[in-house]
Amino acid sequence: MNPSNGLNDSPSLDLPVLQRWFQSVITHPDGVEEGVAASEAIIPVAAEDLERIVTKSSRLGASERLAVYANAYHARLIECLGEVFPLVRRVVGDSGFADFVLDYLQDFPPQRYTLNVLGVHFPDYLAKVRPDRNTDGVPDWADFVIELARFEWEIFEVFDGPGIEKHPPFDFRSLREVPPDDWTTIHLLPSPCLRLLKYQFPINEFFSQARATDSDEEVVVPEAATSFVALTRHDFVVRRHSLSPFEFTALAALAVGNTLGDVLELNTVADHGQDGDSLADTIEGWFIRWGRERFFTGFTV
Amino acid sequence: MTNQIAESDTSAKSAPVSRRNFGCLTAAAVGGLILGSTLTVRADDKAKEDPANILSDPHICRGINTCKSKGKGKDNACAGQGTCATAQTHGCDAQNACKGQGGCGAHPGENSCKGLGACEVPLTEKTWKKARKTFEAQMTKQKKTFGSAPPPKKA
Repeated sequence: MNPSNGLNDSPSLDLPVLQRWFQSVITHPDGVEEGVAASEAIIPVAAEDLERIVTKSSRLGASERLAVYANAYHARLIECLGEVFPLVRRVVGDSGFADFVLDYLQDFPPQRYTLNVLGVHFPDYLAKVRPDRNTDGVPDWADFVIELARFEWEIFEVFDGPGIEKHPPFDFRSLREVPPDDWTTIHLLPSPCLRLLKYQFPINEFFSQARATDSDEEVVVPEAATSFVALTRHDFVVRRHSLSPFEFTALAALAVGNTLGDVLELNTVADHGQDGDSLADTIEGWFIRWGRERFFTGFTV
Repeated sequence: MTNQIAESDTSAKSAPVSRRNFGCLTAAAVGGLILGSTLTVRADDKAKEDPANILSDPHICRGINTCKSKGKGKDNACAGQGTCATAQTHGCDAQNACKGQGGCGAHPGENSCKGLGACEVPLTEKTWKKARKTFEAQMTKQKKTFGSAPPPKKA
């Protein structure tokens, strides 16, 4: 940088102005030349006069030196989102992913001191720019990419969001103090990191299978099939649990505040096609799992 | 809690269940919850004796997660990028801890951009075509069938 370089006919080149101009130039999506032109309001300088602001080196001119920073800026943002959406990147390919990100950044450039929220709109962006659906209504590969992006973002949010690590596991043995006649009025309090998700594809299974392979190994998009997943977090590890449709329905009903009695009314023998004993076993299995995995952090009656 | 919960189908038809059966289901639920939480409490006690136990279930581990307690909120700790892989957190590739800094990394500055070329912003349609090409190559290689590409998005 050359803040005192004799640009006497230019606005003041004090450091804040120079920094603003530099940021504007290197973050421009179309490259340095366009960036310089678009930043005229900050420092009016023609591309051929760039060396009056940025000195050249023995090997690189001013524009090329600025391009180093411009490319690095975008490369890091692509890398950052690639860490949040690793399987989306694998499915669409590195080059396709980079193109998506560069386009996405035009609408959602980083605007905070942290890049933690950079990807928050990425799934919606993919949904917005997706090709039109086929008329048969069957979920297609673009739907899969979008759902995968939503799933990876959910995992990222659970990973980074509120958790239960600072609290000892709630001991539900205190339920023994509740009279059996009152059990139907029990409300379970969901863990703050519990998320219940429904997809058109077997996203969780795909996620597990893909992660079991090398990152450079190709992955195959599965056929559409409705699936249900619970996400939670234990000891700072995100846990994924595939759910049956009935289990999902029961869990979702409890999580939004329905009483145990209400939920069990919903999960009837008729709905399951199971007899009473078999259904009781199924329900017991669910609750053992939910208790063990700390889906709930307490109860009220 | 996410919208998905609110959107989930909680309106399943209710069918008559005998009082006896309903009591069995309620008991199964309460008993299951007590048993499950007991397993957790015991596991938690055991984990206190041996912290390595928390890594005993790797198939559901995201791999980068065990660095959270070291990285979250420490946005300036670029040096932490390589320090997360301690004995207890060996499943961590450490990248998340430094994700927010931008300026850190093993190849800062000039090196990291040599291969990137110009920062072209392509048309979205072109990008989806490229993604579709990758998809078709994957499916073909795996000898899987797939439908024709959807039409471009209308303007």
